[in-house]
Amino acid sequence: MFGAKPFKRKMILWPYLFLTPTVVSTILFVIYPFLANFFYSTVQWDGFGPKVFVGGGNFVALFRDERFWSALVTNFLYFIFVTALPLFFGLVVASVIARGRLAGTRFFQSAYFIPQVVAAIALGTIFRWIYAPLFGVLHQVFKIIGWEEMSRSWLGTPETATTAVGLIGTWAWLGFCIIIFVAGIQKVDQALYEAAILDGANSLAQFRYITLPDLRFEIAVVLVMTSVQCLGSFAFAIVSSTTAGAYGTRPVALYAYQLAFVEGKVGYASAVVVVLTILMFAIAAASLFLGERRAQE
Amino acid sequence: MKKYGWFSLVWVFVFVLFLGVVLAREVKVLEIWDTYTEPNRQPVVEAAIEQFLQKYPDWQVKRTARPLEDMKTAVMAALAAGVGPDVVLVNNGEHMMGPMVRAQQIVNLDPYAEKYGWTEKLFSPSLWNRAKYTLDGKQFGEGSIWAVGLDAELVGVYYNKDLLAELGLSLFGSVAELEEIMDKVKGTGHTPLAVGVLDDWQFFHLYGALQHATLAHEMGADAAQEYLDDLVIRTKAERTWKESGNVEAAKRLQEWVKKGYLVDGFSALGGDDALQVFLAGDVAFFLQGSWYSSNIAQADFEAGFVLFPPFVKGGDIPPQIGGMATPLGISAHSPHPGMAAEYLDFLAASDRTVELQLNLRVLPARVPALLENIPENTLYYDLLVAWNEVNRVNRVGHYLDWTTPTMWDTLGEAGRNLLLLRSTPEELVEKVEADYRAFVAGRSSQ
Repeated sequence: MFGAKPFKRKMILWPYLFLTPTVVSTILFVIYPFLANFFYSTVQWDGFGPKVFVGGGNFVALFRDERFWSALVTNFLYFIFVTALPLFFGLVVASVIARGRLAGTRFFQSAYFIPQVVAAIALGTIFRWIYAPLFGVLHQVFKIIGWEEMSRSWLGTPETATTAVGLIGTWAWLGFCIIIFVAGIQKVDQALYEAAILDGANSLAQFRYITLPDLRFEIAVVLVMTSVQCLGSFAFAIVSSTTAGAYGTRPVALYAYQLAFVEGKVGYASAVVVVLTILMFAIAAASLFLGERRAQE
Repeated sequence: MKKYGWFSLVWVFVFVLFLGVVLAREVKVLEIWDTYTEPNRQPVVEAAIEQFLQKYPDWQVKRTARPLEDMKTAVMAALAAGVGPDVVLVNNGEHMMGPMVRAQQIVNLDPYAEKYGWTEKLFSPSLWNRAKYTLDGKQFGEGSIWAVGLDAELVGVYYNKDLLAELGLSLFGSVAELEEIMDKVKGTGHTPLAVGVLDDWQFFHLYGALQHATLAHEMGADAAQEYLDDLVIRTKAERTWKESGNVEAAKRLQEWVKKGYLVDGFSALGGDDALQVFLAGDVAFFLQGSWYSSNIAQADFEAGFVLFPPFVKGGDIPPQIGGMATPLGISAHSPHPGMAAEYLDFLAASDRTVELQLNLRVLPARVPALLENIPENTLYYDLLVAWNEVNRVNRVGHYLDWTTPTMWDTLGEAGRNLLLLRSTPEELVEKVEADYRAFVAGRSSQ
């Protein structure tokens, strides 16, 4: 009896002990930088001299900044390519793989997933060679099949550059979506499908009423992961290795980098990053909220 | 026992005293933060450190080398906290030098420049203005020296000697002759000029070279140099981009596009892609910087290098785009700036540095470059001859994106629209002028 109390206390402390490294690193590397960045967003600072407090001045300037809005529009276009298209095609392909009883399912899963293990900067370089005029793979393919007139400077004209960069994102994230959705579909109770078949439901109805509702968590995860990547590092790396932001391809993250490290406007760049972070949080929260709400229904 | 006790105590005392002396002895360390990671710069840095340690054997050197933007971030954080290296990266202009001078974070190098004779030995006066700011840090291009680079860069025209010989063409002596040759090259089914403006700086160099030549033709070469210094480095309010030479250069460039002088797909090629296109051997000219010379020297054909020509044959050499390697300065927090300056002298001006630079085929900061041991009719020989010539006439032109912090974006976009024939030359100049005026107005309101 006497020994039970200290033992219990020890049991209560153990989980905190395990949590401590994560909590400390989160405070040091996430919360503190975010708060510091928020502080910098309220000052005018070139990175070297004194910091002049301007309050919300940087944010006011931001909303009048054409370059910021242009970068934000570019980000929304990337959202279509990096989030919406992989989500849609990922669902379709995953349904075929997981429920189609195809031979070589594992091969398809691995093949689609390969782009995920390639560094974004390398993807950019590879696609720069693919899209290149004169010696690019795409140009050569069009030449071989006699569609030479279809060949153009994909990364070199404003009409095609954003799409060309965006499609790299689609290719890169499709595999991730497929893996997550295949795993999700495989955990659905097969009895539900059997009952639906007995009730005369066709494949589309099975997908609409069984597969899709059961994938709500997976869809939320995919939405969070792809949209955060789209707004943050991924587009940054791809663009900096393809067009360097030319022809309307520069996302907000790359614009913030330009402001801070090229133009010497560290305070203003921090304001851009604050807005970007809030946007990421909003998208992530909305995705998770939708996922959970569907779960409660 | 008592005797032994005292004896031990004395020994302990002596040991503690010895330890104190050792620990109290100042550990003399020269800390260097640079960006010279390239294979043709690394040996020069290592040799400079070796020379420094030979002269000061009781010193240690701690060097950190990182890419430019990484290093800039580290320098910003360190100097703001009052710590950091003795020898520090100080990129030119408002990128770093201006803010660092205003924040009094770097040392005025004038006394050291005088002591070591840097201004006499290194570069021409027209290049030194890139390392200068007034003491209050408000005016770039004038005042004191704050940094020094270990080597130099020069933009000019690489040409395929074999192709020109095969087509029976000789080298140009003017812009008009260059155009005539490009016309003939085009007529034979070859490509006249390799360029890749997916990297904005390729446009800056192409337009800049033509602009410098056009301005020199209209104003006179020395007046053009003065105008460009005022415009790009000093950002003088009384200067304007609305000079006919600037419009004329843009017009001529559009003509080059219309006549098909530029390689197909130039808008989707980067600088390195354009280099590969030139190296393939089917292109006559490649207008680029000396940093590509080692790649081009490896080509399967004979290549040469010449300065961008004057507008008319026999005219004065126009200002030629060039600069010094990303320079280094001395931190104001350094406890031994004199030693840091000594290292900078080894790095930029020593005989060993020049010897290595000539072996590594880079442009030495020490001018004129010695040609005795360089084989004639080689690309490097051409490059050194051009470099000496530019320094002799004292006309080192400018990278136009230096004009304002936002000029890279403005001129990059305006340039692409110009080359895609989506805007007029006048519109390009209007856009650039608007950017310039906004910067000048912002500066004078501070």
